Amino acid sequence: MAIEGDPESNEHVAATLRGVLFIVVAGLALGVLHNSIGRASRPPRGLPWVKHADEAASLEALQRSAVKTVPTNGVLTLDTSATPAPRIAKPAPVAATPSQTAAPSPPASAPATPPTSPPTMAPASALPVIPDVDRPIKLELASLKKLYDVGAVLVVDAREAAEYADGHIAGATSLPYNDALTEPERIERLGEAGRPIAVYCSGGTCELSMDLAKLMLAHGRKKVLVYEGGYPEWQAAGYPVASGTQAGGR
Amino acid sequence: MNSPARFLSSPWLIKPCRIAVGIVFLAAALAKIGDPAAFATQIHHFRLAPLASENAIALLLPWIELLTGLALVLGVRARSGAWLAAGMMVVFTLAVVSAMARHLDFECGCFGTADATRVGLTKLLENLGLLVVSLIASLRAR
Repeated sequence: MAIEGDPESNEHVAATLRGVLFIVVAGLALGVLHNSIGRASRPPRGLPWVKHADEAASLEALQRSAVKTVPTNGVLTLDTSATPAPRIAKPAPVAATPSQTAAPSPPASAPATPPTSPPTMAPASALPVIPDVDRPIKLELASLKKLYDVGAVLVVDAREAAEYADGHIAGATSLPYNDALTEPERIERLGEAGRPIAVYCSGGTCELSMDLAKLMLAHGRKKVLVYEGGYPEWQAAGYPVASGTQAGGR
Repeated sequence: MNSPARFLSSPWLIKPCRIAVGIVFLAAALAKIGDPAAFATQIHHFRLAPLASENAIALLLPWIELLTGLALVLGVRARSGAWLAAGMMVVFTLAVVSAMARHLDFECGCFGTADATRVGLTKLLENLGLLVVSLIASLRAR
């Protein structure tokens, strides 16, 4: 400890600080050298110095690139040679009435908010094709809604359990990212039954959905979609939501 | 000098503390240097540093830890190493507190992928203990 007016102590402090500076500068130099050598070696090792946000493909962009013609009925015709991935699993049986498809019957403790307008059932041919790629695919509200309406997607909520209980997409399964990270067997237990998985969180800058999607892919899951609009956008659109710890009816 | 101060500045206390902290830092550094990508992911989980800087931190910080550990174990610029160790432990402890306050729950990765301790009270107590030992190690032996 430096004592004012004690030249010996001040000298010790100065020497110690010079030592700190030396260790930091030498450490930085070694780190730069080690990674530079690694990056220059064949095959390259090490990491890029600047980390960029992963650019996940957008489902809508993939659809556009695969479109051969867009007929007047608006149904996409997909060029299967450009998108060799198989079509998604056959959708769940179509409900007979709009109220059964878009206004799911929630549990008693989880009131669902009906959509603002009666939904129209998307024909199976209009459903987006989900490519079987090894990276997350972003999708937008309209695409998610098409898949959701016919039960052709497993919706997963990556937020904390308390946020899920406050409100979630009706029928969504809760799998908080942090839980999946420490208990990956919960990913194995997801009952998607061959369907693609759509992960969402709080929209905006929330990265939990993208992180969870990558974790799922790392654990062998296929066709993992990220709905970046998240719960706020879904709720604002007036689509079915539920609250409580139960998923709520779809 | 009163007796607690005399005890805390005793070389018989300070030297073992420096070696103990040095070994911990060496172990942590080597694990991270061996797998910088995993360490970058663990930094990301804390959600404290800007995304663009995560790789640079993961690539550089372990080398500073390594030299800090070597300085403490070898007794070369040991007090400087102890000051650095204490400074880093303050930062690491604040990061754990911040993660706990935000209810983040993940494996700390403080010793690379070998460390399965989740961020929480246990990790906080570990860090506080190491911080205390680092502070003792940073005292000037008399």
